[in-house]
Amino acid sequence: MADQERINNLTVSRYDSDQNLFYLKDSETNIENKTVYCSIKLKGRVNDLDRTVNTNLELSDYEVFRFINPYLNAQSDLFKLKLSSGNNDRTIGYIIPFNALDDSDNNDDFDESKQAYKYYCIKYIIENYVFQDPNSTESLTLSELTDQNSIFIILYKPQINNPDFRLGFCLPNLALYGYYHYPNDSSPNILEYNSNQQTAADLADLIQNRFLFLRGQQSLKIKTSLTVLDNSLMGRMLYEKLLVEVSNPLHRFILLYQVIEHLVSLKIREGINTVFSIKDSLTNREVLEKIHEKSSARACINSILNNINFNEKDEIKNVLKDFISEYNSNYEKETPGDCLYDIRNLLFHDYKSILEKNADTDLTSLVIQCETLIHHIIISIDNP
Amino acid sequence: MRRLTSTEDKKIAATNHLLEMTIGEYLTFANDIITNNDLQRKRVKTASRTYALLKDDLKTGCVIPPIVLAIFPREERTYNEFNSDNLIDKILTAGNDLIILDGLQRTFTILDLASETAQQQELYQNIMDLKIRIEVYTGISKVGVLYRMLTLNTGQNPMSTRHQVEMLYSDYKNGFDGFVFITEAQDRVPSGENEFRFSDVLDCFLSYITGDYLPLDREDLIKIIKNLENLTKDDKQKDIFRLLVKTYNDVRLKLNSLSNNWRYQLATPNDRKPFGFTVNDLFSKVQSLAGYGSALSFLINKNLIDSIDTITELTNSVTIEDPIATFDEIIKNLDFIQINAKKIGNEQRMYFYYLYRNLFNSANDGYLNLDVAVQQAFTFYRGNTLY
Repeated sequence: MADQERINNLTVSRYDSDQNLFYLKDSETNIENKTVYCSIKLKGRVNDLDRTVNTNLELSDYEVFRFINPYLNAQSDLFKLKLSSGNNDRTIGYIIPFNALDDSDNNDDFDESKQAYKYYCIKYIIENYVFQDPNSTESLTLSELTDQNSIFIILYKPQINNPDFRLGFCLPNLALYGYYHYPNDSSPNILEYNSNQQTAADLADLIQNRFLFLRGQQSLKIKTSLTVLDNSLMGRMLYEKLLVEVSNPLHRFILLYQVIEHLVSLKIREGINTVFSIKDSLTNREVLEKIHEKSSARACINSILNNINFNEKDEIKNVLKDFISEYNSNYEKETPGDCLYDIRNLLFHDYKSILEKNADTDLTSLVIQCETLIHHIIISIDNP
Repeated sequence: MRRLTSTEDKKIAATNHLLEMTIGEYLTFANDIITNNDLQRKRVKTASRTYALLKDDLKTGCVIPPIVLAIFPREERTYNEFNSDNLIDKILTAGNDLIILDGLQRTFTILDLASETAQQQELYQNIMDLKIRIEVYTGISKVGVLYRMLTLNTGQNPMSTRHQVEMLYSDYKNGFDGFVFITEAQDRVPSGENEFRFSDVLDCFLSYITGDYLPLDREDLIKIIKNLENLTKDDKQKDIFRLLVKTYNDVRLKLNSLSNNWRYQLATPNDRKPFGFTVNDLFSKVQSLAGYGSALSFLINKNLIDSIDTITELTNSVTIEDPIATFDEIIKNLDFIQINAKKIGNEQRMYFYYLYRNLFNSANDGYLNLDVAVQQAFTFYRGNTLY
């Protein structure tokens, strides 16, 4: 999931803290012909001691990825990123909103580590920007180099113990916090997703309880989820591009549900293989009955969801059930798997009922709930 | 060296003299402007290629556009009238009262070229004999210099306007009229008794001339120039900078005197650090100063107040019914912004902008009533940000 390929020969040669300018030089000619304006504090006092950010580390020790978050996008939404592994949580980097990179008007106490992450993040952005004419003299501001809605995740590689670790494997967990990978060739339509929250109280409450409650915390924890992402092109596409681009709730649901289709398909194949392994001990009728039983999508979804637990599980089941009950007053099913499957049936096969009941029905809250459910399923498969 | 014409520049109430001289004559005082005048902008390091080309052109005897200077006396010095007889002499002896409004990089290039060709006698002499035209402004005010600097220099780096304003007003950097300005190096909070940070006062002034509470980025030069025209229409010689500082200080002192010794109390020691603990903390930060500058710009441009001087009179009439609750409310509002803002400093500037707009606009309920102005400021702020 490399975010950008470096094609310039321009590197940051120095930072002038009087003028707040990063100077860039051509690594072949050594000529400084570009500057980028950005204010960053590299010196400060901590416990009455002068501290200075070490700007001589190798940029290659860092990895930077661009994300976007329609909810946690305030300047103060800056978190340490911790990787959960067994009983250990290890800080591997920082989540830094673009607006927190510039220290103008920043009165926070000096934090050398945080400032170092900011410095190398800015350096990465500058050195990986594709200048139209690398040889021309140019003065730019950092805001001209990237979308100001961007949120950067910067990892310090020496902090990561596992050489096989990839941030790409943590995308479902990051999506659970509202962070969506934002590649250069994508449109961040996700920012329009919660535009209705000013008028819809339930949506505003959901966003508060699901995402904004994290505001003020020092760190966020993530876990890796390898199985689905490694085995499904659709799963990878979903997290590496589609979720940031699709803002229509119905379209989002269709895309997200493909994860369930993929898992159900694996489950059915597993069931068929089991039946086939014992077929010689069964009558033909029993084989057919067992295959019929194992190929039930509803049973597969229930089986998947019955085996996982997370805090929001009951709340989500109730929301799904309430929604279905608006169209079927006799609806009595109680399991999250049944409710998810019946939401799918309602949206895929009977969307006209929703329109006929209320053409203005906003599905955003419902789909956010389903999305949370699906991220949890993916994470739980690898973290039972 | 000879004077060609002297023309009145009515726009900025100054006189523009066009002179012709050789490069050699220019260099007799050009070096002084650069080496002795700490107001002058520094060399642009990134422009070397363009100016290398200019050096080659000068060697072949090209005509370069006029270099524009101004005689700009420091605080303690004044010049008598300039006339056709004394002008050249005064220019030659002006020393660091001369400032280059346009042509600084060309001057650096000429100096470099003189140094590089010093050993090549014939070429050096040819360059020294080359004629150039120099424009010199006399009788110019600081705002006049700024106006001309902005109109003459359009292709500089993104912070050029701030840089130029900083340079222009740097003779105030330690203070004036009893006001004390703290430099960046001193790094302490202003005491509130006539003290400010110089950089914050600059932001106040910039917000006033741009009409925008945001820090200057890629500025819209046309907008700044138009605004400057409008803001100085009553009196081009008026020192806006001093007036802004004086009236702002009046506001801060008045609020302090009405505060009933308010001090913000943390509910628990672990509470989030507030924007400030005292009235002085609150109103000595750049966010408030920038909000004030831009609010005054709005009020004057909309003819809601006549001029900056009006604020002194209005400030005397400001009231606070419940100082404890109102100053606590300001902290609460700024804390909300601290947590939720996409860009905290900018949005706090916006909040103060609305606070001063409401406090000094007779059409608003918060007019001269800080309690109501504070409530309205937050309502206006929320309306603009939609959190």
